[in-house]
Amino acid sequence: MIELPEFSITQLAVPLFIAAIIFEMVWARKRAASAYEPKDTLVSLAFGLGSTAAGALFGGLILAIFIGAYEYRLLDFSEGWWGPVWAWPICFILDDLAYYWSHRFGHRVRWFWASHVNHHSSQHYNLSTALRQTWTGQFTVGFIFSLPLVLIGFHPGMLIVCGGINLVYQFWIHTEAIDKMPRWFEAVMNTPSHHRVHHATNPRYLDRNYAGVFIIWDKMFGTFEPESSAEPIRYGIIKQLGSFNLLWAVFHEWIGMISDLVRAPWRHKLGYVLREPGWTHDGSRDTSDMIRARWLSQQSNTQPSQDEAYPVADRNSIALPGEAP
Amino acid sequence: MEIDPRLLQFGVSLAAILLLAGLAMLLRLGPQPSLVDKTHTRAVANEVLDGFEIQHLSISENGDAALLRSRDEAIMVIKTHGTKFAGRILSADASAYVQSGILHVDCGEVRFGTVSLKLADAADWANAIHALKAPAHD
Repeated sequence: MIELPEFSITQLAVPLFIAAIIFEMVWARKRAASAYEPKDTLVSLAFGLGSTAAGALFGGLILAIFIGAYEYRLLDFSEGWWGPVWAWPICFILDDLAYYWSHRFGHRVRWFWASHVNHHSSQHYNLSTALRQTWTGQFTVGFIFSLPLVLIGFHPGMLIVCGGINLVYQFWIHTEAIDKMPRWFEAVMNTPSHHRVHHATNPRYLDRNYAGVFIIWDKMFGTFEPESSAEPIRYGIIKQLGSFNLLWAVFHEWIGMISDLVRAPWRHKLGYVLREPGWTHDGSRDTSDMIRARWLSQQSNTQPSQDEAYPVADRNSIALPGEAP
Repeated sequence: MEIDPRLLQFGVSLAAILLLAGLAMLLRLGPQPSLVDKTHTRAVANEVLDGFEIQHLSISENGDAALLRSRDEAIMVIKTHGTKFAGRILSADASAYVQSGILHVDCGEVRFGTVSLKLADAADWANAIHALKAPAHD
């Protein structure tokens, strides 16, 4: 039996999460009350709690797969989950690369999207949105992107810690209160600006900036889009829920996917599971690629907007230049 | 009596969540928005469906909802949702009726709910929505 860390990075960070949310709420009160919506906040936080419960119920299976795979590791450099020290930065970087691909599949494959859509279904972008985590992640196979790391020889416990740090890092970037970080930081790291783009539904920004911690992956794999001062970001999903019903928010895409699967002709059924969200065999709905293509076509037929004078974050409801929490 | 630590943790987390949501209410965050004019409504419609080319629109008297018709006769309904707006393109599943001068529009999605609008041209919109029904086959 291999030894695993007896602590959870994310659970240790919970007091920090709560304090930061309170701070942002007070700040929002002073700057613009519409940055938060109590019902939306309640749903987002309930998502976080439910996600923890779901992880406790179903996460053991994934852990068992990792522990089983570790028995077949190619290299045997591990001293336990805590070391060797040199393995930590390598593990963290490779785990972030695995996160990038898992996250990218989360947006490009409907089966994965059915779970990940939960994180995007708020029309708000604040620190409570960061905790809007899925309940059904264990029913996708996103973990397979980390499996090669286990097979190389990285201890499953080390991966759990790295994954926890990765998740905690991503908390602070869910805010409109910070405009841009220093240039060098923006170049390498995922930041509020980069991640606002990821949560945007503007055609320009769809399916961009999948990074967890390091934005370099998007730059390497051609999915990077900088935040433009030309248009205000709008958040959420293409077809906004229009409801604060928690269970509907959790399961709506699963229900939609299964419903499509049942109704589709046999030869198209798999497409509704493995193709991108919005794909239909009869072209009756839009995928993100179709929306972007239509937008690009419209752009080429119109003159550029004059509304480019000041940064997006300056127009955001709670952001003011030079102020950050 | 011993309480399972996981259950205790769940309970404390739930209490913290309710307190945070309560704090958001206490701070009076989340004021309801309003569709102030046609320009604003056009912008919101473009958020619902990028490139929706509006031919005609009607805003409910108190600014909490609107109906819009595109050049290709598609109809969009917009409603407030918290501090934001949400909308739907109406399909043949949609229905509408006028009662006491209020137009009630049901887009066919239970969770989206019925949208109520006070419009001068409510009857015209109700007829337009009825016309979305697929023609009956012989």
